[in-house]
Amino acid sequence: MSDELLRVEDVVKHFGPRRERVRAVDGVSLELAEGQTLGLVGESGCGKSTLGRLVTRLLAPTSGRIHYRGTDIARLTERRLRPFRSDIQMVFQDPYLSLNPRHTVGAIIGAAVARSGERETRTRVRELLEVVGLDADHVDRYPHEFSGGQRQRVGIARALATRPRLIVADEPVSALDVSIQAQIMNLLQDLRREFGIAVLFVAHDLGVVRYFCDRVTVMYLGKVVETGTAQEIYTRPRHPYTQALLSAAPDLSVVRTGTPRPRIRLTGDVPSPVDPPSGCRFRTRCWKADDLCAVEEPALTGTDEHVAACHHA
Amino acid sequence: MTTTPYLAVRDLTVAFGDVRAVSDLSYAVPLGRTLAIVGESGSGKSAAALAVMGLHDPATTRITGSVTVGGAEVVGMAPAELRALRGSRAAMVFQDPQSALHPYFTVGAQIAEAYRAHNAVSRRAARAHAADVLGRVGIPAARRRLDDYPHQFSGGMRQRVMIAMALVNDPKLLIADEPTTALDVTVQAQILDLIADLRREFGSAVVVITHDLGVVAEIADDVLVMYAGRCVERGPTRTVLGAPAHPYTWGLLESIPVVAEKPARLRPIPGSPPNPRTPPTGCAFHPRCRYPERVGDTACRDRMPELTGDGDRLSRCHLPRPDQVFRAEVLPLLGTGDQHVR
Ligand SMILES: Nc1ncnc2c1ncn2[C@@H]1O[C@H](COP(=O)(O)OP(=O)(O)OP(=O)(O)O)[C@@H](O)[C@H]1O
Ligand SMILES: Nc1ncnc2c1ncn2[C@@H]1O[C@H](COP(=O)(O)OP(=O)(O)O)[C@@H](O)[C@H]1O
Ligand code: SF4
Ligand code: SF4
Ligand SMILES: [Mg+2]
Ligand SMILES: [Mg+2]
Repeated sequence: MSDELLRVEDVVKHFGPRRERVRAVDGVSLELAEGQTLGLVGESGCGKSTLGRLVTRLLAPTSGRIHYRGTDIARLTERRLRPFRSDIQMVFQDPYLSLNPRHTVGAIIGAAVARSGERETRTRVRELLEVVGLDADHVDRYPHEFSGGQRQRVGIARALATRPRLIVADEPVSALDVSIQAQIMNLLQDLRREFGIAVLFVAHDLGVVRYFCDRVTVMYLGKVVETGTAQEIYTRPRHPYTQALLSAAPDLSVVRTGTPRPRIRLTGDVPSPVDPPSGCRFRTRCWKADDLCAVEEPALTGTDEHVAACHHA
Repeated sequence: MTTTPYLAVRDLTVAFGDVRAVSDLSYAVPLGRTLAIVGESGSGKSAAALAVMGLHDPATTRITGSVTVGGAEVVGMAPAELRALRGSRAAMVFQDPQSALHPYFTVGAQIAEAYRAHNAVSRRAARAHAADVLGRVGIPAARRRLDDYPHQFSGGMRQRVMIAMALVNDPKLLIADEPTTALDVTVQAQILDLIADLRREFGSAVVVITHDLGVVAEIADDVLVMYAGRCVERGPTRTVLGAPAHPYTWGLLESIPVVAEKPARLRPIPGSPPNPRTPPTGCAFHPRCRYPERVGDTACRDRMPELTGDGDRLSRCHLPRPDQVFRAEVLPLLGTGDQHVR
């Protein structure tokens, strides 16, 4: 990729003691160009948030490399990380938990603004409030005085305060009502276009990801099973898991077309990440699985536009 | 429709102190049919469902109107009679499985107890029945899992346990309050299939509360849209989602990016839902609506529209010829729906 911003290489994050090691992220690679949006989807517990926290370096990886604009930040000390912290920001799922209730939004956003005089900081905070569609005169209000959607706007203003190049948004709309979700998605879309910000967008809502993202990565039990352009993934999914995920999403268009899409029903639950299945991790739920799938882990293969990890895709 | 409805709600109002959570709500669900109730959080969906089940605390809640389940009036019903109704003829799956499953008792004990509360059977027989029901909701090796505690099940399985518990006495009315909101799409699909199967198998009347219009499209025969405690639109799902008549329903549809196609841009409903303590005058939706000027003078601000309509579809809006507005201004934004996945 010519204008590469982020390149994650074979990154691993394990939690817990050796005997009960949770393989939350288990050898993941992905790339993101300047200004691009990458959607990260998969069932609960597959490692999406953990990966997001590794990229923002809220967590340190067990192994692997995280190249940000040419520098491997995987192992940098807190002091050496500092310049990268302002470049890579995070927006969280829960606008209720992620803002300190005892600080005014002015103080919350102001703390993130690059050091400058008090007057300048306040001017910049007011400007940021307006950028995210809030009333600049509400700068001295506390988080509880705002609705959920407004709080999410405050969280976004805080992320923008450092003029980041990359935002990791972890389920930024899933706690909000449908009508408010659309407001926030349009806001994020406008901001990233205006400021050229790249976004790693973690979500379980496949419609939201299709709307927002240029490319999509599908994860299963700590691994990437498929990556490609959104157009490819949504119209020609190759991996059985991706196919099942897309076909399970409840779809409104059935009302207008009258013909329900064909369904693939997955049975059973996701296996434990402490003791994942041998070979292909999806094989315990896969309808195409055979003996090969139990012994050999499939590699990601395909074109630049679209790769999938399956022996029989 | 000739069938007499099993559940009939008429002019239901639910108030907590000075908060009116539900106003003038009416709907009916015959046996073998599924009604979906949709709306944003705080619109009164749960408050209405709890009233149907007689689960509100009479000391803090004022309920007026009528709710009949199989012909019996629930509003004002004596506590003992209500207990007999719940869990036998009518059952509810709650929004929060944590609140309905006791953490200190095994799943088997809880289901068996729910069965024994309404049937004079031995412990052994109740346990066998519990295993049977658990198997029916798709828990593998059900007999072995009877002695497990709730925390030993995954989120999706706990939700199935909840449904098993609701079904243990083959209720004729099942109310499921956001049964899949916290679940992954794959598990959600399993639960929705399960609810659809049960309705088919036992011919029960089902009410599903959800905020997901995709879920409505998949499982509901009829849909009722709530805003600020009131029904704003109601009718067969194909009609209400295919050619909605209320600006709020339009707004919901315009807000949702569907999986099957990529919209150029979403058109969100501006603003946020009203504070129930200070509801807007006239039509509660007017501060967020695009059409009050179209209606003319200050009608939307001054007068609450009646719930009116043609045939089995009703809508609460002053706007003349909403069908034309929908076709000309809303439908083009929703895409064609023919760009299917795969
Ligand atoms: N600090 C931690 N200690 C131990 N295990 C953890 C920790 N954080 C995450 N995990 C485990 O790692 C796995 C991946 O978790 P993660 O939060 O990344 O999932 P996710 O894909 O974001 O799921 P969700 O969709 O539910 O948010 C899970 O099994 C989780 O329980
Ligand atoms: N027990 C209660 N006491 C006071 N107010 C309540 C109570 N339950 C619900 N409400 C209020 O009633 C309104 C409707 O709530 P609810 O029925 O839970 O909405 P929904 O289920 O549609 O999200 C809200 O304003 C809510 O705060
Ligand atoms: S490798 Fe085998 S088990 Fe894995 S997805 Fe492909 S067919 Fe299924
Ligand atoms: S009555 Fe007026 S404000 Fe209310 S939905 Fe109809 S047009 Fe909008
Ligand atoms: Mg997460
Ligand atoms: Mg509710």
